[in-house]
Amino acid sequence: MIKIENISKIYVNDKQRFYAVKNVSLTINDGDIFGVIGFSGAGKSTLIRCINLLERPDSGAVFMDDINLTSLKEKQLRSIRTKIGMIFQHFNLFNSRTVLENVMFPLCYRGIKKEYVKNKAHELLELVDLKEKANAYPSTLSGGQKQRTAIARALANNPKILLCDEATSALDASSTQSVLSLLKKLNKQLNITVILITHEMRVIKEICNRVAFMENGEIIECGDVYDVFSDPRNSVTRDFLNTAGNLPYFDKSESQNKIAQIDNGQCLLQLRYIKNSAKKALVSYLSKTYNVDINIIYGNIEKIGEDILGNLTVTVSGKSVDIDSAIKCLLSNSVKVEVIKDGRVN
Amino acid sequence: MAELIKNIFPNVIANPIRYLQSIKETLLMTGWAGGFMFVFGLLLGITLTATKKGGILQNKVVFQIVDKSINFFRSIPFVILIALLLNVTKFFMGTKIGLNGAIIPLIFGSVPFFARQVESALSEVDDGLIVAAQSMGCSPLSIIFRVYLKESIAGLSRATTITLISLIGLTAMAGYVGAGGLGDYSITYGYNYNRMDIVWAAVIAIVLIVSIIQLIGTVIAKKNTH
Repeated sequence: MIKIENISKIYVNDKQRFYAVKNVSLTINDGDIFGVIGFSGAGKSTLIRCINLLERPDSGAVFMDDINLTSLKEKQLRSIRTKIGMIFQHFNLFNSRTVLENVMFPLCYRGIKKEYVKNKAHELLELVDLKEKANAYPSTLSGGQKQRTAIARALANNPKILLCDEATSALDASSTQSVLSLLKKLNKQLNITVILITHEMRVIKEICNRVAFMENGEIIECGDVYDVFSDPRNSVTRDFLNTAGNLPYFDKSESQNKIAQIDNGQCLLQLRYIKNSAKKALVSYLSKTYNVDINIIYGNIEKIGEDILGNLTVTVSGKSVDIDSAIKCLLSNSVKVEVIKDGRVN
Repeated sequence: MAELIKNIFPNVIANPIRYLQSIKETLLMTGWAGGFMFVFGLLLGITLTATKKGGILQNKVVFQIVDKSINFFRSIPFVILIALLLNVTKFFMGTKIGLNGAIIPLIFGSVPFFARQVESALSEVDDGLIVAAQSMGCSPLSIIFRVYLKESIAGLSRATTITLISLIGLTAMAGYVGAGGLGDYSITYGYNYNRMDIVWAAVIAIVLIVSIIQLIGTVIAKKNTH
C-alpha cells in the first residue's frame, strides 16, 4: 500500500514560486491500477516522481507499507527503490546494451549469481513476449517493444509496485494496446500494484480501477473509475470527460439547438445507463409496453473496464401518463433520467 | 628501392638511428603523457559532470574549483606552460629537462582539454537514463561506471583520439626542454641546416602515427555504437 500524505512540491521559476504539487493526499491499495490524469503541466509527473522520491516533496510524507520513505537515508531509500519499478514515456533503455543486458541491469553487481540473473532475465523477456529479441539492441526495436523491454527491466527485482510515467504517450494505438494489456496481465498474474499517470482518457478507461483527476497541482476528484465517469462531481472533471471525446453531456445552452426542438406533448430526456442497465433492450421495451415513441437524438455507449456506461438524449412522445410510467420504469432499471425539456401541457 | 630512398632522403639515411630515436621519443612522450592525461582527464570530466547543477553529486564548490582551474590551464599557451611549470616539473620528476622534463607540462597541457572533451561526451548521455538508473536504486558511483561511462564509450573514444592527436602536436614543442622527438628533429637537424628531407621524414612519421591513432579510435567508436 502506498500512502501519500499531504505532499507539496514547490518550484521556483524566475523568482516566482509555484506549486507543482499542492497538498496532495492519496491512498493506493495493493492490487490497484491507479490512474492519475490531467492536462499537461498539471503536476502529474512530479507527483509520481515523489512516490519513489526521485523528486523530494517540500512537505508531507510518502508511506509504503508503513515505512515513511521521506525519512529514510539515501542508502535505505536505494534499497526500497528496487522494490518499486518504474517505466517512462521515452523508455530510457541503455542503448549500449542488448535487450537481455538491459533486463539484467538492475540485478548485476549486487552479489547475485550470474546464472540466476540470466535465467531471470530470460523469464521476464518471455513474460513480455520478447524472447526472440534478447540479443537485439534497443535501437532496432519498435516503440511498443522498447516499452515492453523497459517493463521487463522494471520487474527484475520483483517489485510490488510499478510506476508508469506516461508509459503509452509516445506509442501508436496498437502498441498502446499491447502495453496496456501487458500491464493488466502483470496486475492480475503477479499482483503488482500499478500507478500510472497519463493524459489519455483511454488508458484510464481501459485498465484503471481507480482514478484521480489533477489540475494545477491539486487532486480535484478521486474515486472508482466507473463512479467518477458516470457521475463526475467537479466541473473541471466534467469538462475533461467531455473534451477527451468521451460521453457528451447535454449542454443546457444547446436547448435552442435545432435537434433539441420538441413539439407539444413531447419530452426531451437525458438517460444515463449505469452498469448493466445498458444490456437490456429498454428503448424498445418501453415503446411496446407504454405505447410511447422514443427518438434517439444522440448518444454514446462506452466500455469502462468490464462495465458499460451509456448516455442517450431522446425525445419521448405519447400520452402524458404513459410518459410518466415510462420514466418510472427507467428509474426502476437504474437508469438515471434527467428531464431537460417538458413540452406536455399540464 | 633502397637506392630511391637514399636519393630522396640522403640526410635521414646518413643517420637513421637519430630518426628512429626521434620517433621513439615522440611515442614515449605521447604514451606517458597520454596515459596520465586519460586518467586525470577522465576523473576531472566525471567530476564536472557529477557535481554540476542538477548532477548526481551536485556540489557547487567542487564544480567551481575544477571548472575554473581547467579554464586557467587551458588558456595558457603550451610554450609558456613549460616555463611556468619548471618548478613543478623539478619537484615531481627531479629534473627540468629531457624527456622526463617534458612529461609534466604535456600532462598539464592536455588534461584540461581532455577533461572538457570528456564532459561534453558524458553530457550526451540522456538524463532519462540517469533517472531510470536512480529509480532502480543505483548508487552515484554505479551510475558513473555503468551508465555514464558505459553509454559514452564511443564518445570517449572519439575524445581520446582528438586529444591524443593534439598531444602529439604539443610534443613537437618539447624540444625546448631538450626532450627530443620529431619536432626537435625536424627543427634542429632539418630546418636549421636547410635539409628539407629531414622535415619531410618527420612529417611522414607523424602522419603515420596520427593515422594509426585515428584508425583505432574510429574502430572502437564504431564497435560501441548500436
